[in-house]
Order: sequence, then C-alpha cells, then structure tokens
Amino acid sequence: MTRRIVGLDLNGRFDLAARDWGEDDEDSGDRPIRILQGGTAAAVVHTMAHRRVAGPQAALAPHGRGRGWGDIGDPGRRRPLSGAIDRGAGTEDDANDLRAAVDALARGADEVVAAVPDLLGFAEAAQGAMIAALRARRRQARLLWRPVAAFLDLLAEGEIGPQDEGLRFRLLIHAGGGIEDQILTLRQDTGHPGHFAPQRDGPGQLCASQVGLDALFDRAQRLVVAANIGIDWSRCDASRLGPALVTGAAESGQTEVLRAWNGNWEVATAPALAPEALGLAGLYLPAPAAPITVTFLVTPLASALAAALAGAVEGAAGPVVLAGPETVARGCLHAGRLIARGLPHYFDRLEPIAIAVMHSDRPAWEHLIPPDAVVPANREHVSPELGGFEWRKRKAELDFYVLKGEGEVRHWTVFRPPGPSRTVPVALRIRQTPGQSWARLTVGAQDWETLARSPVLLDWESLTPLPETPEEVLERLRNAPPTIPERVVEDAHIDLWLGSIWAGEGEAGQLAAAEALGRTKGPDDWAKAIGRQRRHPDAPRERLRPVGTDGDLPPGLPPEMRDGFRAALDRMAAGLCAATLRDPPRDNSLLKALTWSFTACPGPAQEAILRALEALAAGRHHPLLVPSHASRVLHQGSGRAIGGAARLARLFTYLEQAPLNTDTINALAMALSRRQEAPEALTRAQVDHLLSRLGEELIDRIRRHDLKVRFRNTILAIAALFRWRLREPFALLAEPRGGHPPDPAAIALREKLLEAQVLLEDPHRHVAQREDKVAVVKAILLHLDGRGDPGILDRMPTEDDNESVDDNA
Amino acid sequence: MDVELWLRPWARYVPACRLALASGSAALPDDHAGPPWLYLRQPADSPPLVDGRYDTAELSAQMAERAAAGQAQHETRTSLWLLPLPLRRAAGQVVAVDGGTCRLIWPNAPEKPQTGVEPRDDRERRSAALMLRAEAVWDRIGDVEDALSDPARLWGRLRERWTATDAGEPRMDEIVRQAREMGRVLDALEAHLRRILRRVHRMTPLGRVQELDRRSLLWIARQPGERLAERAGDSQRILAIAREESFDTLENRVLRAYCELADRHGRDYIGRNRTRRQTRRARLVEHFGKRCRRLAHELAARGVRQAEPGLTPNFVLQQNPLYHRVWDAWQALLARERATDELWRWQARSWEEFCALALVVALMGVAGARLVATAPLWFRDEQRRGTWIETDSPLAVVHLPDRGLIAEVQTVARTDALAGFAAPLWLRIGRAGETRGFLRRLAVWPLWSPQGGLAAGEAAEVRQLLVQAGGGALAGGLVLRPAVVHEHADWEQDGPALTLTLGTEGAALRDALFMVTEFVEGFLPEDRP
Repeated sequence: MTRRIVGLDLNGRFDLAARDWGEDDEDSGDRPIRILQGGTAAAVVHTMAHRRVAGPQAALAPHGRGRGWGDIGDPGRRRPLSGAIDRGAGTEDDANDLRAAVDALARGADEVVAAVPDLLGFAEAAQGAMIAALRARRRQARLLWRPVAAFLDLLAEGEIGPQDEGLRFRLLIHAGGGIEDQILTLRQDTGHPGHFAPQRDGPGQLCASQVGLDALFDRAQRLVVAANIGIDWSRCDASRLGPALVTGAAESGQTEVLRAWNGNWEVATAPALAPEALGLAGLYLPAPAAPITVTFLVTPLASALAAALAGAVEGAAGPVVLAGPETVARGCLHAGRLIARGLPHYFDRLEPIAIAVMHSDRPAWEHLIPPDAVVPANREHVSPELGGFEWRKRKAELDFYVLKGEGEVRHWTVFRPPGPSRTVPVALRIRQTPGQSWARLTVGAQDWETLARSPVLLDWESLTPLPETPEEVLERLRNAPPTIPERVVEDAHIDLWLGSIWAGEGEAGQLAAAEALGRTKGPDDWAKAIGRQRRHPDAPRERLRPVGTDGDLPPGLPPEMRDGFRAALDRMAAGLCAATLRDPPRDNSLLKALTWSFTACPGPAQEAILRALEALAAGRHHPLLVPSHASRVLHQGSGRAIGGAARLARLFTYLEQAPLNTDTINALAMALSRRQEAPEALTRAQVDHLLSRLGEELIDRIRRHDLKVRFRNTILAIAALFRWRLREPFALLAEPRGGHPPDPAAIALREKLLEAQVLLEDPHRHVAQREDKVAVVKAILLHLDGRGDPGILDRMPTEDDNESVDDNA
Repeated sequence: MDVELWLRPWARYVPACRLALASGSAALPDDHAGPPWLYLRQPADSPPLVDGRYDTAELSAQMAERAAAGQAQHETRTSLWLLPLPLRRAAGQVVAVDGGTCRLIWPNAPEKPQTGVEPRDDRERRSAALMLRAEAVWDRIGDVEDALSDPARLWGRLRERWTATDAGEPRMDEIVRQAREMGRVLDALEAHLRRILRRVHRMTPLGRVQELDRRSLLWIARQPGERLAERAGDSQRILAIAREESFDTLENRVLRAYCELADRHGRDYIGRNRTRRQTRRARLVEHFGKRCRRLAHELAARGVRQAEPGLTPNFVLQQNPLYHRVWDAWQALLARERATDELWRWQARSWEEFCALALVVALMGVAGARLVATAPLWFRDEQRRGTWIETDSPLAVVHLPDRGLIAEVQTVARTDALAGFAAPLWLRIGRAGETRGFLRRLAVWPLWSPQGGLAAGEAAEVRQLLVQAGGGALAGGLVLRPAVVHEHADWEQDGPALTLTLGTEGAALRDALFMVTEFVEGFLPEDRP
C-alpha cells in the first residue's frame, strides 16, 4: 500500500489540503486530487472537554463567539490559527494549535508535506518547531517552500514544461503579510534524465505588505461593519463576512446570522466589495536581478479581486499569470509523491557550514558543506567525514568553532566527562536535508565507545552566535596561547594485584593480603611486586602499574588489600626514617619499595630521601647513602616519589645544581613529566638554567653516539619543561606571538635543537631509529613555535627502558 | 433515600410509569419497552448505589420537587439516572434503597449472546438480532468518523450517506482493514508456518538411534540381556530420543485464534450489512472470512491448539514481522470484543447519540436550511459507556432564511421548568433579527427498547403530556424508537406528538429522516409578524 500523503497549505488565512486517496482506498495515489477546504481566517477552538479542534469544524463552532452563546462562547476558547503559524509554532500552545489544524485536514495521513514561507525569517529554528508541531503518532511531516510547491503544480499542470529548461520563473505568493516573491529556475535532474524540477538559490523576500491578506481582511471587515449600521456590534458575535468576501467564500448580499448577547439572532448582510475599496492599486515590487520568463501570482482572492491584484502586479512587474490558491497544496502533494518515488522534488543551495581547523601554521575555515553546493532536496545530504582531530586522553571536553553561512560563528564545546582513557581520533560529519530544520553536525570517534555508540550532536539552538566575525575568530585562534604538554599519568590496574594471564600471578595482592592478616613481608618482596609494570594486551597497549604514577591504587581493589598495602608502606617508611649512621639500611630494598609506590610514599620517607640528597650535595654522611648503589636508587627514586610543591622545589633546587648524569636526568624527566605540581615548584631561572644545560647535554649525547636512555630522558625533560607555560602561557616561544616577544632561552634552545637535528640527520653518522629521534626533536621545535602536540610527553620513551639500570642498582 | 423506578423519562407527569422501590425485589413489566431509570429524591452529586457501585448508573436529568412546608414552599432537588442493560438477566441489578436493597429483575431482558456460539432458540436469536442492531447503530455513529475526513462537508456527507437510495459501500470497519492488509500475511504464513523439532522418547530401531538420555539409559539398563542387541529384544528397538516436527507453537496457536476470531467478526459484519452483501467491502470481508476459516481448520488438523486471550507474547510474536502483525490484528479484534460488553450494557446511550445526529441530519433537510454553527464532533478512539462522540451543546444551529427562523439542536438536559420532561434532546426555534426572537421548543426522546418498534398509544400519551405542560413554549414532542425492519419506518402521530421508528439503514432510516424533517417543518411558523 502506498503512503497516504496530504499536501497542506496552512497559512491561517485560507487553508487548503490536497490528497489523492480516500479513507477506504486500498492503494492511494491513484485517485484524482481532491482539495479540502480548511476555511477562511481559520481558528482553533477549545471544547468544553478541553480538546483543541481546528479546521472547518472550528470555523463553524459556537465556541468563543461571544457571551450570547453562554459559557461556550467565552472568547478565550477561540484563537486565530494565523497567530500560531506566524509565530512559527514557537510555544507549546502554538504547536498544539497547529497540530489540531493538521489533524483536521490530514486525518488518516501517513505523511504531510506542508508549505512554509520561503523567507529569510523562516530559518532552521522555526522549521524545526514547525516539523515537531506537524508530526504526530504514525504521521511524518516534511516542509516545502511555498513557491517551490506552486512551481511543482505548475509543472504538473503543464504551465511550465521541459522546453523551459534553464529558464527563470518568478513566483508571487499572496500571504498574510504581503506578497512572497521568489525566483526559481527549471533544471533537469542529471541522475534521472527526463525529470525536471525547480532549483532554488536562496530565500525569497516579502514585499507589498499593504496588500497582505491580513490588511485586506481588516479593510473588508470594516466595510461589512459600516454596511450594517442596524447591528449593535458591541453586543453580538464578531462577523466573519469580511474575510469570506475577500476570498470569495461569501458574495455580496449574502447574509450571516450572528448571536446577540441576549440569546437572540441578528442578521448581517454582505456589502459589495470593490477592488478600489481594498486599495489593490499602486503596487510596488522590486525588479528582479536577471530576466524572468513568466511571473505567476498565486492568490486566494475572489476572482474579481484576484484580477484586480494581477492588474496591479502587472503594472509593477510585467505580465502575470494567475494561479488558483490550491496550487500550493497540490504542489505539496506532487512533492510528496516525487519523494516517495525517490525523485528530487527540487534542488537547493545549502547554506555553507565550516569548522575552524589549524592548517600547518594558521587556523582556517574548513567547509563541511561547500559554499556552492546544490543538492537534491528529496534526500539528506551527508558530508564526507572531516577527520584529523584528536580527543586527548582524560580531557573531558573538546572545543570547536562552527561557521554557519557567511558570518554566524558558534563556539561548541563537546563535554563528555571523564574523557577517553587514551587519545582517540575524532571525526565530524554533517547531514542536512534542505529546508527541514537544522543541519545535524555530529562528532564521533570509532575508537571510543562513548562516542562510537552515540555521537555528539550539535544543538544549534542552545548556542548563541558569537559577536565576533569569522575573521576575528580566526585571529583569536591565531593568537591563542601556545600549546602546553600534558603530563604523563600511568594508571594502576587491578589485574596486577589479583593476577591474570597477562598480569602475572598477582604477587602484590598476595603480599597485601598477607599484610592484612598481620604476616609482614620484607621490603625486597614489595619492591619486586610493585616495581613492575606491564602493557595491557589490548590496543593501545597502555602501560600499567600496580600503583599508579600519582600514587593511586586500582579501583575495585579489596579494602583489606588496600589497608595491608598502606600498613606495609607505613612500616617501611618508619624503618627508613629510623635508619642511623650506626644502623643504616642493609640494602636499597626499603627505598625501592617506597619509591615504586610513587607519591603514595609516606611524607616522612619523602623527607628522608630529600635530606639524603641534600646531604650528598653538601658532602655530608647520611644513613641512606650507606648501602651500595644508594646514590642511584636515591636519585631515581626521588623522581618517582617526591610530591607536593614544596618538596619538589627542594628536589629541583638540588637537581639544578647537581651534575647531570643518568640518574639526575632520570629524576628530572620523571618529576617534570609526571608531577602535576612540577610547574609550581620551579622558578623561571631554574627553567632557563635547566633548558640550557639539557640542551648542551643533548648535543653531547649525540656527539658521543649515546642515544639510549640518557638521551631519551634528556629529550623528555626538555619537553616537560614546556609545562612551565601553565604558569606563564606565552613563555618559551622562539617567535613573537599575541604581542609577546620571543624568549631568549627558547631562541637558544632552538639553536641547540636545530644543531641536534642536523647531527641526527647526518648520513655519515649511525643513528638507530633515526626518523623517530628526528621526529621527537622536530616536535619540540614545534613547541618553541607554540604549535606543538600536547600529547608529546605521552609519545616519548620513558624510564621503562632504563628499568634494567634501576634494577641493577 | 427515596427511590422510584421510572419506565419513561416523562414519568413525572404520568404516574402510571412510576414504581416505588422498596427493600426486596421488583420486576420490570413484561411489556416494558425502554430502558429503566432510577429517580432519586436527592441531588445529582449523590448517585445511586447500584450493584455495590456508585458509578453504575448515568445521570439523565436533574429536576426539583416543590412541596408546601408550613408557610413556605420547600424545594427538593432530584435526579434521574439511566440504568445499563444487564449482561445476564438472572442476576438483575441490586439497588440500594432506604435501609436495604432491592433486586431489580427484568424478566424479558435479552442476554448478551455468547461469543462464537450460534443461537439455538428464539430467545438467543432475539439476543443475536439485538446485538446486530446495536452494532448497526454503532456503524451509523461510525459514519461520523468517515465523514470527518472532509470536515468542511461533515454534515452534508452524513446526510448524503443516510438518505441515499443506493445502499453504497457498508461502513469501514476493523475487519475490513484487516481483510485488506492481512490476506498477504496469512498467505505468507501458511506457506512457511513456524515449526519446532520436539524431543520425544520413542522406541527406535537400533540403527536409527541418534541420541540417548538418562531415561533411555535407565530403560536399557532394566532390559534383560548382556549386549545391546540382546536388550533390544526381538524388535531390535530401544527407547531413544527422537525429534519430531510440531506446529503447536505459541505463535501458531495465536494464528489459529486470530483466524477463528476474524472469521466470526467477518460473519458479524456481513450480518450487519445484509442489504449490501454484493458490495466490494462485503465481498472482501466474506472472502477473507472464508480464508481465515480454511486456515483455522488446517491449523487444527496439524495439531495446533487455540491460544487464550491474555497471554504474554513470545519472542516470535514480538519480533517476527508476519507473526507480529497477526498478534497486533488479534489484539485489535480482542479489544473490539471487550468493547462489546460495554456497548451492550449502554445501548440506550448509543441510541441517544445516533438520534441526536439523525435530528441534525433531518433538520438539514428543511428547505433552504443553512448551518450557522455546529459543535465540533470528536470521535473517540474508544467508546465510553456506549458513546463514541464527544461534543458540546448546541449541537447545531440552522438558519432557515426563507422563513427567517433559527433552529437550534440542544443536547443537554434542561434544568428549568422543562427539566421534568427529561428529554435529552431539544429543538429550540427562534426568529432571526428580532429582539424577542424565541418562539417555541420541541422535546425529543430517543427511546431504546430491546424489542424495537412503536409502543402502542405512546403518541397520545405524549400529547397528553404536552397538554399537561400547558402548551406555551413546549410545542411538540417526538419519540424516536429503533425500527424492527429495514423496509419502512413506522409512525404514530397525535397532534403535536409523533412517535417514529428510526432504522439504521435503507428505507427505515431514510423515511424516518424525511418524516422528522416534515414534522419539524410543521412546527415552523410560516408567517413573519
């Protein structure tokens, strides 16, 4: 069974519906088109049972007609439909009124195609509200520009034919507020040879407001009142003869029965309505930009008045062909049938939509819908995916700047806490059906289940356009603060406590359980158990630890294990703090066990480590320096375990002055890249000093062909120093930006990095994984320009590779 | 509580039509032709307790009784309540009266025919005929739903349909829709009925044994012999699991239940539209009914049992597109079945609703009549106590420009001096363009009765009633009763009182509408003052 489609021309002044099926037809679409009258100056009434009724029943209903009808005549029970339509079904009441009107004229329809004004003011928000109002259970709704609908009917009626391909036609639609003026071009569908449809190149315009139907109705009504002087108009129903005379629903001499407030009846007589009395002469219409083949005028006026209006239009716009008011409703029905057959009912120029993206070194608008896109309007236009965006690990939000049309920019923040567990690529896609409300702009990410399952849809109406122009927005982006590297966070994983195929036998969990039962375990066991790290077997093979680098334990760890672990740490910290030169630690196991717990390492132990390092710097003895290889473990452990801005400041003060070696660089890299409070603990002088020393160290490593652990930690430490921008957003820039001069330390570092790049690229020099190393240097160079990758630290080699060194300690 | 049983709505003026109820039991007269009303000497906000519930009866009218109390007149507000037709005669209705209860018996009341059971005796045949008549009334009311597809011509289309000499297509009905849409579904299902392989224990030749379970092994263990061949005995068969094809699934049971129900609904539809059997819709339904009957027999032959209403749909009924459509269609027919109980009980209200529509249609037949106003008709998705249409009063206001008159159809019971007539419909006639426009009223009583036809002497009774009312504004009375035959309308007129039978189709409907038009025209003053 084909769909039951109703073409609707609902304007509240002269409503019509067209359909080609009957209630009991087995197959719709095979009957001649029937026009249903919705009435002149339609209203919506509220019945005593609180139902809304519109259409012809409402026109005849006694509801709201005045106190002569008793309670039922309360004026609050009657509302003009034109108000709801003109307001674009903006309120719930309007939407319900509109729905009642559609229910009345499209009873039993599976789909309605409703004509809407082709004016700039009838934008996406109004379209969306209108579609929502027209829809109902088991009824879909589609909108169609009124001139396009009229064009389709003229095409079906043979007024326009294939011989007119490429020609332009002017459609003048008589509406409530004036005459809607639109120019459409006939074109052939390349996908369906022999199928012709109009092409629309933008919204039309409203002109000749003095002959709008509302104005004519008012004038006619005044004439009716003036012609019936015997009636006390203040004490009876309002007459509806005026609008009826204008549209030809009533003739001169026709009577209308009105109920007086005392319950008796008055009879009004319709006067003769001369075109002159309505002021139809002296019309002005703007001249079209290009030649027009034929101008069509669609008006619901009575024939004599329509002829007078056509004469006035001819005076202003050349020859005019009159078309009946049913043209639009019939055209909507034709459109519905064409869409059902998969044929484009018209071609439309989509409003361009673009996203601000960074092109190498500058932001630009990337078009999702090209400015000149003309698409068939019967189906949704789906843009290709616009990729190249990333959603950073643990970032809860992502920002976009969306440009709609030529000057409407919106700032769109997509918020999905807590963000992905790893950095994922995201893509934008836009879908739009011309003239059917807002474009659907979505952000999706295949690798992140949250977005893969339900891509985020841009809610246009909740975002207010920015006051800036598109160029100003780009300028703002151009001068945006430089990127800041994000610190490295490695998570704890429950499997490393409880055991699994990939995570081993769960030694940490066993130790913690034993501790919880009061069976203490040695620091050596703990150091081995929590000092290990594993990569997850599934992509992206994240690095995981028993204790996270922020000192976190995995969620879901049984409380007794958690307590056992804390007790063990406290016990070991107490042991460490109790060490004296007379009774020093036997080995480094206590230190290792405590520092592999990262910042979960108890405060007294962290203090002890710092005091030991300070003693080393001062050349004094310290119990923690007594065991063999204590210096190495102390340095590397301090990078892992020292937390808090004050302690970190002490650590950086020490490391700044200490000679650079594998251990000190390891500690620097670790603390700078992982500790959130690292920028707080640094001073600008320390940053400059460290950059200078690390730059020298980098060149030195390359020249010595030592491109392993120490080289990588040096690179990591340099990159991590850019986190200083958290305190000084425009710091460490080698180029001026946003009114900020270049930074001498950054210029010096750039020299060193360029030299390092040259050395690394030297073909006479053997460099393992040369491309990777050059890429890392280039990535840091980009940071000097303010455009680096915020995920640079995550992509760097870490201390895992030198774990063996630590283990040897 | 002072309670009376009224046999006519105007019983206030005709004491013979009133029975005082007291504790014990009371019976309606054998020849009673109409629904019973309860008259309470208490206001409408205190409904009667009938069958243990306060919402059993429907308010028909509100009145007042005046009595001298000392020097002043004392007014008692009273109310009239319509009682529903009982589903089962024997039970009757229990009405609470002062300090006790009264069982109200209606010895000749018809009983609702049992679903799917052919009538066996005269009484059941009368019940079946009454059911058909009630359904025909609902069909006429349902014409409004069809006419609403072109609301600008609603009343015109209704009049065209009801007064057409050519019977035309019978009314659209759920069974017609299903006959159109379900034929292909049934074809597809018949070709690919779902079946299951059921595991059963069966003596199976040794060579064909595929599966054994605990029960089979226990059986084997109990058999004499050492080896399996010995235990298999002479027949060389053992108890084993066999897989057997079965069609007796829940979805096929629903399919069978649907087919039988659709067949029955089809036959009802044909029965209601006997004069239109040769129309496209009737033939379609008849053909579909046969198709359903054949498939139901086939399913029964395949061992498929019949599903009972109220079951929970399984996955197939919910997700398989074909079976899901069968499920939906079955539910739609079951819902209709359930509605018939309510409709049976409230046939009198359906009749009132039909008569109100008929009165407007008849009024539009007056020469030159033009609608001034009509209350919107809202066709409900589900009936409510026998009524389908929601509307307001005045139902219609008609201008008769040739006579300068306005006729207004009012559908609310009056609360003024005319309230005692308890007429649910009133025709108010006034003159247009005059300050003292009101002229006269006509009371209309739609009186349903199970037996149908005229009640002898009723026109004279109504005339007497009008005389008693003192003439004045109440100028006439019209009683509309269900017709027994479709061929003609019966009538009896006595001056300004007319009793008339109104049919649901054919000449009985058409002629009755013309007679009402004529009767109303007779009341319209010809001369302008």
